[in-house]
Amino acid sequence: MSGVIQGGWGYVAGAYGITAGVLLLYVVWLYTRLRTSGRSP
Amino acid sequence: MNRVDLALAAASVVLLGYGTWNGLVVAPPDRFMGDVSRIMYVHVPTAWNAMLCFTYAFVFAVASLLTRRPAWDHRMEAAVEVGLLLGILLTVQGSIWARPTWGVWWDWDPRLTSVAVMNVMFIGVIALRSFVDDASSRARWSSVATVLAFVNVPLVYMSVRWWRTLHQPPREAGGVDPAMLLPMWINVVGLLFLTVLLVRLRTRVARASRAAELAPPELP
Repeated sequence: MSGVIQGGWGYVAGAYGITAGVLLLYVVWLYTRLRTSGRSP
Repeated sequence: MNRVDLALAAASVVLLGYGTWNGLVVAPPDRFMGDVSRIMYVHVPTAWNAMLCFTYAFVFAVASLLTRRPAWDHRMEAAVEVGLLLGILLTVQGSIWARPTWGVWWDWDPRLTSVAVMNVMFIGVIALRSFVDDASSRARWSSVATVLAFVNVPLVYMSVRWWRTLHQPPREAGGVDPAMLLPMWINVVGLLFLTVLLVRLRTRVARASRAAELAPPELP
């Protein structure tokens, strides 16, 4: 079909990968903060 | 993590996994945008949840101003941070989508500009909190700043209706293939559960930080 954008899976992988990676890092950061918060000065 | 947290985590993993699989594998490519349109199945849920999170922050800020209870301040701190995280992800996803469809990574279109302003305003709220040492002043001033920052959120939502420029307006549900609506809605709900979980966990971090601030210094 003319006019349709061809390919683009790299952009799709980038958008999903960055989203999943950042959210996962944030969950790990929160979990670590909660684990250590009881021992904070 | 308690049972509610575990239930939210399990529900969000299952829903986001199923919605993403539907969006990447089952849904048909868009007639014009092709496979790039699959970014919408993560971009739109992120956008809606970012704005919802800032709405939580607004409600918590008003509650904090009215009651002066620290619990509302902790919730507001959490909602602002999680909302900002989603707001930044939304901007990055939109930029990735814009490159193949518009030919540019960024454009000062009203929707993109209002989202950028929204992010900067809530970065300002977080910065303000880090500058004020006294907890009650911090709660008061950051609540006022959150209420002011929230004024821009409805503007973000309405920007594509008021100004028809580069960013397309939302499509009517009746004109969209149900196979494309399904992953969108599943991811909206899955990300909502994850957002609520993140706000709950971040609220506990804020509460623990406040307790550490108020704790008397240890004797040598």
